[in-house]
Amino acid sequence: METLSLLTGNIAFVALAVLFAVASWLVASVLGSVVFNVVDNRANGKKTEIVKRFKTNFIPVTGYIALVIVISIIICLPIVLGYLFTSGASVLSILGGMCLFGFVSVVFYLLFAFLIQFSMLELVIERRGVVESLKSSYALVKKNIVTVLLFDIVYIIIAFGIGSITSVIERVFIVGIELMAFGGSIVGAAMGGVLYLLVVFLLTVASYFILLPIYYFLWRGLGPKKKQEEKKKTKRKPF
Amino acid sequence: MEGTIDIIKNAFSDAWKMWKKSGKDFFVDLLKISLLQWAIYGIVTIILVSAALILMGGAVEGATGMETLSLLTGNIAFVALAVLLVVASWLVASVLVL
Repeated sequence: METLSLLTGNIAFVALAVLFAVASWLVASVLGSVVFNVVDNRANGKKTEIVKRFKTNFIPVTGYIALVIVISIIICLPIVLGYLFTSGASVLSILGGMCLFGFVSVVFYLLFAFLIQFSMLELVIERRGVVESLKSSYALVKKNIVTVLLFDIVYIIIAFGIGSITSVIERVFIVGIELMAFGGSIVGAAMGGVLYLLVVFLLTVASYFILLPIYYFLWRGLGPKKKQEEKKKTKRKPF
Repeated sequence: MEGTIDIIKNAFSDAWKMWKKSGKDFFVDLLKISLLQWAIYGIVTIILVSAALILMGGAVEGATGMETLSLLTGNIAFVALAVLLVVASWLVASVLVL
């Protein structure tokens, strides 16, 4: 009975921890969506009330994340199929089957990510519904497929360049910390660890700072800006 | 193709104009959001690692009954104190940046 009580207690404890982790991750993700409002407002010379935007974004972004997770799970189903088809075979066969079907999943997932890449901007800036924002992004990408593809290639190269530079800087710090730890300076290593976290934090912000506006202005150049111009052209007089 | 390159070039030049015009404010905004995000992830990591340590502690010790209860309550109190400290510092940081 004691063991059972301890076991259920532990399970409840783990469940609570998982629930807490998911809830916190959701809060952090919704907070992350506010960066799109920030870039939109700063582009228009306005300030952003972070808490207010966080509250406004909470329900739509939560719904959006839930839907994207469901779609992603469906896309990843081939990996499970690969496992099922090869179950009972050797470990290598199972891995081979999973890799083969996994490749299909990766291709479909990349295609999905490519098509919905503007959906978050449509959701939090244009204030469209969850499904509507996915459809809108799909239509936008489909209409400008060459431009988006070319831009994505340039964007990935820039992001990779920034990533390489930041990883070199981070590596230098790690080596420094390791040297201090091996040299017996635990306090120095701990301080180096704190400094390392600070550097990683600043580099993350710097990456956002460089990449976000470029991405935002491409989206605006493709979609809403054009629509606004069209609206201006066809604006009817009130009387 | 010309239109395509123009759109991409415009995206870069508009971004450049924005960095020049309101780069500092934009960076501060990003800093605030990232700080809050890191605070959340930090708290969660501390709590989860503590929870895992509590569970592992119980398993390693192999303790049962009163010993386990004592171990658990002691650890929970310790974690609660740590969490309280982190939450308090996070709140102070949030008030400072918002």
